[in-house]
Amino acid sequence: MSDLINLTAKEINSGIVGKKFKATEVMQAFLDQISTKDKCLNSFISLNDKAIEQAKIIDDKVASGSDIGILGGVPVAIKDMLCTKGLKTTAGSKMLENFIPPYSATVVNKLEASGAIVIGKCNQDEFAMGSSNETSYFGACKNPWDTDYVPGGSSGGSAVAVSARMAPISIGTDTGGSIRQPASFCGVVGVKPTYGRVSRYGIVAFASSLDQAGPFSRTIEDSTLVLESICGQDKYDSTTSDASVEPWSTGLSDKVGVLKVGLPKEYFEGTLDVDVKRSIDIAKDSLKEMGCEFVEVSIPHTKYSVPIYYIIATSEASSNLARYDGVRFGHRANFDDKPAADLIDFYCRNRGEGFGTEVKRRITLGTFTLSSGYYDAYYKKACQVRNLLKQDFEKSFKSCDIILSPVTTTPAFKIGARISDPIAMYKNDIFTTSTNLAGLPGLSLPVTLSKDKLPIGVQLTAAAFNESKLLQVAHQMEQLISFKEKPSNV
Amino acid sequence: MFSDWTPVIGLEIHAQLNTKSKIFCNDSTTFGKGDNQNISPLSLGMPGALPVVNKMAIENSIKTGLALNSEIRRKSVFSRKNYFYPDLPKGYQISQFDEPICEGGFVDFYIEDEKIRVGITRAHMEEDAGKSTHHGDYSLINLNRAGIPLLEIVSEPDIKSSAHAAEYARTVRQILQYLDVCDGNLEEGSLRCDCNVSVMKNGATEFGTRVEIKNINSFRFVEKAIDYEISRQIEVLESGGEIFQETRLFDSTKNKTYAMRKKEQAHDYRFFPDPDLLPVIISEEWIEKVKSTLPELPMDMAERFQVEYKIPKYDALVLTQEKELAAYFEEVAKSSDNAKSASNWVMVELQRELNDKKLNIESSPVSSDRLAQLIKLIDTKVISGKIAKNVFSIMLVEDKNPDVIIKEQGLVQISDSGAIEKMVDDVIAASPNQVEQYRAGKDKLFGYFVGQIMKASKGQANPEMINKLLKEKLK
Amino acid sequence: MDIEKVATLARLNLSDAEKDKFEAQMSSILEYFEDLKEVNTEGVFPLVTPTEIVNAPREDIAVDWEEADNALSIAPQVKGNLFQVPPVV
Repeated sequence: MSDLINLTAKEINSGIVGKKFKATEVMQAFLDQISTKDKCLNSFISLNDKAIEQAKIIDDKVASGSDIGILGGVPVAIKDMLCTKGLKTTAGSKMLENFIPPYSATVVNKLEASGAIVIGKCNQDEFAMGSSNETSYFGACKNPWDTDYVPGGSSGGSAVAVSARMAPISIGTDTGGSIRQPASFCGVVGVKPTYGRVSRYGIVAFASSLDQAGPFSRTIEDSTLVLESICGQDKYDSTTSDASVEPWSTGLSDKVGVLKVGLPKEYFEGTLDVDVKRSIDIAKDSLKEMGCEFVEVSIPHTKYSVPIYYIIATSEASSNLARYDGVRFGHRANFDDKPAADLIDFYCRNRGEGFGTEVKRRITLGTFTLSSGYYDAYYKKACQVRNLLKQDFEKSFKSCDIILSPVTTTPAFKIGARISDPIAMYKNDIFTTSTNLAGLPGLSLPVTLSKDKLPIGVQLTAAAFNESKLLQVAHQMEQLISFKEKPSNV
Repeated sequence: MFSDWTPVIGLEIHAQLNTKSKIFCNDSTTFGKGDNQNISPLSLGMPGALPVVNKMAIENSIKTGLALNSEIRRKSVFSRKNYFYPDLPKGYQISQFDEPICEGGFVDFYIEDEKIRVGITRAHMEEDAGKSTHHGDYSLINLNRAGIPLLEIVSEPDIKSSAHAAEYARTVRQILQYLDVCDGNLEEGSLRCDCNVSVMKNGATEFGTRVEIKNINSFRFVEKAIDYEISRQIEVLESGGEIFQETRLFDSTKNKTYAMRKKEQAHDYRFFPDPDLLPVIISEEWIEKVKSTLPELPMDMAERFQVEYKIPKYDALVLTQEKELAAYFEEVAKSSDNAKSASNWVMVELQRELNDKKLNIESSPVSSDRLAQLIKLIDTKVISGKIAKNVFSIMLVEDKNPDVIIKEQGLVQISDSGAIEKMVDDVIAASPNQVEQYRAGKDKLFGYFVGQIMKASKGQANPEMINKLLKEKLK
Repeated sequence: MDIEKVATLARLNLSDAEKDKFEAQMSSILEYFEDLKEVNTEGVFPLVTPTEIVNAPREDIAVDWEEADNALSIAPQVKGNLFQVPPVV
């Protein structure tokens, strides 16, 4: 049984197709791992009580010789930001504590069409607002490498599920680094696709022009299979692109030739954390072995990426979260004992009770940055600087094929260390926010452990819609680096 | 009328566009469904629901813009208008702010004999909100209407009087109905009209403070609301007071405007471009295609009727009030080859019947074809105009062609000169006194002789022939 | 920033602790945003969506949602088939 939970998604699928084991056995193995490990990790908010039933359907298909799909029989954990029909979807918030959506996100539908089975819904920062999974209404999620440390956020639960072998693959969402940063902190692969590759339909919206769903896995190959399943234009999401989805998994080992790897000078100015520097050196060694060359590139507007991210994301969020008002669904305060004084009071109490402090902070900020008299100085200005930042990347990709950078400034930090200082927390995002702002694809690849035995990943970023190159390079680096560590008590 | 003061009036007309599905989601727009049946995740504002714009809504907006002589923006943007209200499911309305689909334009109409032009500032697309009903200590919300496409047409503050305002609104509605893009029903709410009113001292260079008036559901009330508001503002200003920029509601029972409660007025809408929707790009081809589907517009049709059919302006304007009526008239005019007659019959005889029975032209008991036949029967002198009226009243209730009715009723006009000559001789013989008086100079008696012959022939003698023969015989 | 005014605009009740915390934090955050003044954005188009995608409108076809009744069953308060809220007027 313990062998099954250490298999990759690809191995699970081939094993089921090859009748080496059954989908129900696989699902049971992961469910057992969850019941053993998750009490102290708190990475799942709810489980799918029909998981075994759905696994049996896969087994029946195998028995009758039908095709089960590229992810057939593979359990997948889903961040609680994605709607799953008939299964509670909370976005980590009291506001949606008991919300059972009557529809599923397109991503979930596509995964199920590829044969994957939802095993459960993962913990996260409330409404994806956070970088440590400490703002969840359902309690903090812990890093399986050391439970005193944060797993990262906002997709903390999804990263932990894969890292602690409670699911072979999971789905998170990334708005300013929420897949890449927890992937780095938890020693797993995390990929954010190009903006427009993956449908946002059915995904609780945080920042519409930045959000993208993406996979966590232990190998680049697994994430690639997931991307092949979930990418594609969706008629329910006007912002999806018609860019074709290629069979990237078949080309992962193709020779990349003399690749030019860009190193943004602004990222490497000043002193890097010693462990982070070491991870970059290991990454560079593997790239050298692949025959790559390094070029210095420049992203001059780097220093503004965090402030413009926080202006744009909070502005969009203040509007996206206006629908949570207790009228048609979600939390409504108790008005039996104390009736609402008026309509404003009705709204203020529902929302005041339903949302946690970080969410209220960001809604307040975003309401301000869009408000009369401040719109030009904040929102409009941020959008203009965003344009300049995007142009910085376009210029850089003229002289390089891929960009290498750290994911975070340090390895995981202790639970409680940064939560009372929002600006310290926000500045964590310096290396990841610019990717979302420019709409580019990026991933985190685990490389090494810090001196405190916490994982560190490195970030690769490619030009828009160049998932092909991104995944190829990452796969080949992965083979050379061969990071085989896993959390000690897993 | 207001001596020292000049009123400045602008109208904002919201037209519900006739599409089968809503503007940003594919819920049905069918009226009369059960409560909260035309809904889906987007019209409920559920998590993760996303808008996808309806092509027909864009096309209908382009069509309207072209008919209003506006410029169609090749790139227009949807923006979010953020505010909280229970009938607004997402907590924001998707509208257009600084890049609306139509800009500029104008509309012409006649007041008596004067052609008036009112400018259009812009027209933009947006979604309608749901409906709330109030029941004392609670309210109920129905979201069937949430998301229905609206086109908001904003006039320049060009309108000089309440009568002009009402006529402008009627004209816009007429154009929308001609285009088949909107039902234009003020009472049911498929057309809504808000007025902006201010006054300025004659010769002043700056506009006065503008007040918005809502809750007007007929064109008559448009006039009354504006008249009341103009008087109110003048009264306030003349007594040294100040006009506040506010929204007032019209009370149709008292014919007054009254202020809404202060709390409802403070809105900071925080407009920003909707990141879920990309800019709408409209190609030259699309515009040309829509242009080619534009029907003839009412003003153009009225002018053409005057030239082609040589009917007076008043008639042309009445006949083109509704597209279907104009089409009916034209069919009759062409078929009968007598436009003047067609115009009279439609405007007088037929219209009276339709008004009495509260029918529209599409439900006319007499088809255009049959009316044309009737006119031809008069023109070929088979029957007289007077007899035709009788035939017509039978046609209204019996499903028969006029010639059949004439045969059945034996109403064919007597045009046999021999028969009429005999009738003339008989009447002259029977009325020697009148003949003498007439020959002595009492011309008015001619009518008496005609009347007698009509009586004798049961109205069927050909009047022209009567006149000719009488004149000869009475010499 | 007038925290109370903005919170009301956003329809959020803040606890006293939250109000105090926000007062201090918002000033530092806005100060942090001041850096943007350094950037020359003259004539730069404000970017809203990062990738170049063209709007694809949909055909005007009505579809009935089979979950319409289910959707009302999860509402906090319903009367008949309508959502119930405190008086709106």
